Amino acid sequence: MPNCLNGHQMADGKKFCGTCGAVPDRATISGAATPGDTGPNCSNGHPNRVGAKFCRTCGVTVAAVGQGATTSPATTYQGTQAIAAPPASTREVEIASPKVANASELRAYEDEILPPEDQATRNLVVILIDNSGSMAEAGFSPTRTRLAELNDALRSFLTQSMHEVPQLEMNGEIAIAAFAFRQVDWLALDGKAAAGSPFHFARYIHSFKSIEPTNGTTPMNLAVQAGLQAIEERKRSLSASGYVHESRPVMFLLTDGESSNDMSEALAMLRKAEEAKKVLFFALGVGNANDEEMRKIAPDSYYSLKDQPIENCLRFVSGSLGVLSGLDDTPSAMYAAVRSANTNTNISAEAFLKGS
Amino acid sequence: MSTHHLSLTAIGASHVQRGLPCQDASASIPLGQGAILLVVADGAGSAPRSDIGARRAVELVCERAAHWWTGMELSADGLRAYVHALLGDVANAFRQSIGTDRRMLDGYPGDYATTLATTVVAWPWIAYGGIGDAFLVGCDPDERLHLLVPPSQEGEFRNQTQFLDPGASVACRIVFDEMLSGVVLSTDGLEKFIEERVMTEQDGSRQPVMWSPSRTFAGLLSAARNGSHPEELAAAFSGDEFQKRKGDDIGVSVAWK
Repeated sequence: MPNCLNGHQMADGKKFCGTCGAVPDRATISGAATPGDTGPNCSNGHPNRVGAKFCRTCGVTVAAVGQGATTSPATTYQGTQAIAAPPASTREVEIASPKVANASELRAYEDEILPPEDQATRNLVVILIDNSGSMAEAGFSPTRTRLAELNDALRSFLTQSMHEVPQLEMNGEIAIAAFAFRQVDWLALDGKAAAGSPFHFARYIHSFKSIEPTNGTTPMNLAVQAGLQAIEERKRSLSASGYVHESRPVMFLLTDGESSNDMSEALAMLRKAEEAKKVLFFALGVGNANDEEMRKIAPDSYYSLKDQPIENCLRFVSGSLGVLSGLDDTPSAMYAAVRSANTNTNISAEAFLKGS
Repeated sequence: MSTHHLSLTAIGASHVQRGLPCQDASASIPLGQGAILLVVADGAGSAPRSDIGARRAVELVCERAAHWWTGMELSADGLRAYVHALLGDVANAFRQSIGTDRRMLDGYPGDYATTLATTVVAWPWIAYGGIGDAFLVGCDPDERLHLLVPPSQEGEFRNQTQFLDPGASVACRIVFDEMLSGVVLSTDGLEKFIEERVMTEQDGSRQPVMWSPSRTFAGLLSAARNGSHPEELAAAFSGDEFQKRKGDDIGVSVAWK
């Protein structure tokens, strides 16, 4: 019969220890090792293939040979006796001693950062981009279209600045849609998070294919509804697979006009989701954006950036996510925190808030 | 057996960027009979005076800890009773401080919102009591790490938490472990230094989340043992290397044999 990771004997076929709730120690299951497991054992003694970075059994880091690797099963530590039963998932990890002599030698150990798909927590971000015909008009620079400027800004954001936002780089999933005429098109980016989902792991996005111009109208209602639906579906899928949502999903909408359709149904959905703390929504207006309508759509979180380079919209996205990290409050308090922060940053100064 | 201890706070990069103060507070004090009490508090990011609230919460723990420790029986039941008595007392006193303490005369109670976590270290007993999110890592003489109290999950999102208030529930965990030689109590500022992954069986069924504390915690204890000052450790934690994972304030309290 196998033992759990804490050494308790378990019945065959049980997934969790009846004594402490821990998972079975694969090293004690007959036949657990497979041909080809000739690499170093993990700190819990599980066999792994040569070159494996993480143990396929328990997930701990597998030390490379010469870096504290062990080739014989390590003794399972059984010293902790929690009077209250420990969480089923708690386990011990044997590590190469850091031998830190003083504070200057303290390290963050980059090799411990898990790939985003292996992390148990996620942050969801959606960006909705108006790709109506008016985006072909002159942008901040009279010699370039808004869409051309936006494509440059998006490329810079997705390949550079986004990777400096911990909430995205560590465990973020991002989905970007361009909307025009009667369509909401999710952009194909690197690092697809899941089949059928428009979300992509932010860490893996290093290229961007420009959005093509259209002659379409501005179906803002469809875009908002599609964004809310994508978030809800991804949240449901992640939860069902045991993943934890780190923070409230955030949705940004960028437009240079006004909605071509009735927004009432989409707004009802949006307000309901905001009040239920399911999503935060920011609207950013450039070009000829209808400020009056946008203030109705996002009363506490509309920013008119008409006199700003379009790249500031993407800088706003980065900055807002930084502010929102760790915050959990009413939507109005969260929006107020972002507005307050924007008055204190170099990128947005007072002009940033003009018209808002 | 002597127990050494220190505490520190480090301002987060996002707070520096926004011109906010450090909203975490921490302390470590002797309780008597060789026991040490570790304390950390994390002021709510959206509360304008939460830095004051966090400091007041830690002060109150330090003021009242010895009173409840007197005559304490060193047992699981005794420690559990101590943790609940202390945090209940502090929660009431914190509420009374709002509007009466000279630093807390203005604003609303929510403006001072803070979490609070404590840990009694009386080897081999370790007693954790907390309101809101914090976590506790233990370390043995071979520098193997044990996540004694994982980051909490109060609601739909990880960053949802509860704050110090007489109505708040107290999370309590008592550990008896003769092999532990060091513990680190931390606010969520170092949460990204706990590796957290979902494990899935080959048949697709999922196991509970697996947690692995970072070697950084062993490094912190090692540096502390070697005489590093809290200010030096705080400076390290304020650096880019640590801040780029989350950018939040860090409040840490450490004890070691």
